[in-house]
Amino acid sequence: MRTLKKNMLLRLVNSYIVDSPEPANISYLWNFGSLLGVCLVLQILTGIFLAMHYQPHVDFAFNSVEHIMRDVNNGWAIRYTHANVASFFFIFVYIHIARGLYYGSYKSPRVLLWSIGVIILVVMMATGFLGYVLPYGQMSLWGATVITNLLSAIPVFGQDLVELIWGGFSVNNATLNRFFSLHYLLPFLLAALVVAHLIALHTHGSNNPNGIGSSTDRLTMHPYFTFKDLVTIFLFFLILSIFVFYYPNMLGHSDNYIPANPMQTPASIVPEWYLLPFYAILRSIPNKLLGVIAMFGSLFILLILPITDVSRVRGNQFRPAMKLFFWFFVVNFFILMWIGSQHPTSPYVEIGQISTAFYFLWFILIVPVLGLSENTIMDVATEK
Amino acid sequence: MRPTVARMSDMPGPKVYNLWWGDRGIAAQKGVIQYAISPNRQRAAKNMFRNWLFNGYRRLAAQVPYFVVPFAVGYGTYTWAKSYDAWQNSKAAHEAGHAAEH
Repeated sequence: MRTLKKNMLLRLVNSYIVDSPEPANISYLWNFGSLLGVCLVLQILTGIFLAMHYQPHVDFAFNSVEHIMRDVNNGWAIRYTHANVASFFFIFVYIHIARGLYYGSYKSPRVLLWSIGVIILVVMMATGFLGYVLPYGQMSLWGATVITNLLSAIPVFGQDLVELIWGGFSVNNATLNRFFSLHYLLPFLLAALVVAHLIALHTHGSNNPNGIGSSTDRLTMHPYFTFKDLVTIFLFFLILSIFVFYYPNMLGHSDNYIPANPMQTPASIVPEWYLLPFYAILRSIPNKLLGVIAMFGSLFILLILPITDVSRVRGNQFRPAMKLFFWFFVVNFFILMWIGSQHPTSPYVEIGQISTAFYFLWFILIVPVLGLSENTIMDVATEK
Repeated sequence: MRPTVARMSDMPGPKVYNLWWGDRGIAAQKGVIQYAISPNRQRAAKNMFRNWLFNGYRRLAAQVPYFVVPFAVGYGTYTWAKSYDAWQNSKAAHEAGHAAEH
């Protein structure tokens, strides 16, 4: 044990996953961080093996993916694992963020931790989008066309920027090549950001469901929480196996099994399910530039929570009104996800617009007003 | 292990929110005594499944008032929009001069 604590590198391991003092009362909602770490490792490992057989060329990409599925030993398992873990990655990150929202994990002193997390979310989305283009099916090509075209809304140099990204005048071979290159690069950037996220976490330690300091009641990371994390990791492997072995294409779109055809637009172009809420926000604003700003704004608005949440109480555990509005926010997120998958016709357009308005109002109006009113009520009640 | 080894590594110090073992503000380590009964007498999983079921139910049920209304509103919106959309694309809506824009 001396080596574990004295060796320059091992003592970091000891500090982070052996002796680290964790609040004794953290619930299973605190398991998603380790699950996300497992997802990242799985994605990098399966991705490396997929890259050994993949051809980033418009003429060969689709067929090379089919080659992986049919000819490569267990290639089908590697590819289906990669595709489905991508979905689970986002399920876990959304729950991880919702946990942070519910328990006020973004509040001081964990603002840096939260901000790095928001950057991780954005990079994850970029990585997911780039990866979806690689099989070069219909949805890959047209999804890439739609999303890259968003940048053309930028005034003056928008169109030039899009053509620079394409390396041509439409999504083409150069685009596929650079998307593959970036899809390989970004996960390592993510890994670095995760290290930064962990360093920021260890400065002030984990938050806990009560939202108050937990220095008087701690347990070591190992064995208590290493084994608790393993419970959900094995549960994840079980559910992932059910998806990979029985419903491997459930979370994907069937159109992506049609080779990309620039001459034929699919009936509806929908992104992967995890991008749908933001796609709905994009489409609910008629002006293209404002829509693009709103879409990116809907992610970056997470950064203002440490400022707009003025409540003196950390988290929603003891704030019934905020609990109610937290669940309204969650439901609104699901509504946006569903709207994103629908054709833009009435009444879906109107519902999307109302939901978009609620999404932003939640951050800039509901959270601060509720916090202020509760603080005021508390002041009135305790006034002598 | 000397306590300074831990203090000089990258571990949180007394000036930060997260106290490390032995820091002031946390229960003093000196004189800490741990008691344990024999493993043969321990009942680590006493009433585990019963607690999982009934205490789990109690904890979830306490939260129901907070999420039942939002989810009801959400599901109501979902079903209303689906039925309105179906109606808009029906013969009846066309006869009434109210068709979906496509």
